[in-house]
Amino acid sequence: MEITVERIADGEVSPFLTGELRVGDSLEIRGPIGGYFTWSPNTQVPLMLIAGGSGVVPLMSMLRTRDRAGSRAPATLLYSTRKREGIIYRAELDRFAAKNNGPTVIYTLTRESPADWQGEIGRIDERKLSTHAIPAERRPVVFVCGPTVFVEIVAEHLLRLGHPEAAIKTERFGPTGEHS
Amino acid sequence: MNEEMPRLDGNAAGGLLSRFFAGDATSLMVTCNHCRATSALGALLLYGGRMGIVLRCGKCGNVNLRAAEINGVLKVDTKGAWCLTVRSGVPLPV
Repeated sequence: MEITVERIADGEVSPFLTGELRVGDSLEIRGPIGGYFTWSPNTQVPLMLIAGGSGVVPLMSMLRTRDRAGSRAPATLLYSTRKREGIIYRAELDRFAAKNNGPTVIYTLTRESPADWQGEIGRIDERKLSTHAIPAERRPVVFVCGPTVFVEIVAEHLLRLGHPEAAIKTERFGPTGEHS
Repeated sequence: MNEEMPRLDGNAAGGLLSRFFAGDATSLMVTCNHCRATSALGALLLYGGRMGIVLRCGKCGNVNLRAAEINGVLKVDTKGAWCLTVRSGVPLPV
């Protein structure tokens, strides 16, 4: 088991997990909780994953499951981060992408534009989705995970591009009590 | 650790509420009956446990939705929500 934590300076839990927790400390784990934002490899339905920041974490779990199962279901990950250094799992994602039947992985950076950068620049918009996302005609199942506003915007774009609402699963996060 | 269930977010209600709503229940927009703040169900605050769940407004704390299994029947109470909305292009069946 592995947990991935992004430190949010004024967060409730992440400063503790990243700053206070020490090797050897005990943690009590509950779950799994929810049972909705899940993917099973027993399918050939194309898998479209869209991540904002640390929203990549549950999607990475799906890509690892897909890899372990030897699934040939087509898969694409579109992953937006602020800066290149902020890309979580970069090496592992690139390794997956290089494999036969590996997923297509596209990164986009929203806060910098390095000279040698090969990926996309800017927020995920309709153009990026029409260029890189598995099109609605191929009837993919779509998982979107990221900050609340990111998820709302991406979900709206997906609906406009013809993805049926029932094919889009979302998971959002944000500061407690935040309303956008 | 105590027995009390920690607060979760509304994402955790997605599986349970899929029994009631077509599509992704966590994407339902919920308007609070008390303060009229609107947010996605997945962003509400979730309290509860085996007995049932309560989803509270993140802004004012008012209970927006409750769900519980009573005598083998799953019930959802939405009285604390002013309205529920989905953003979709599906025309109404007029």
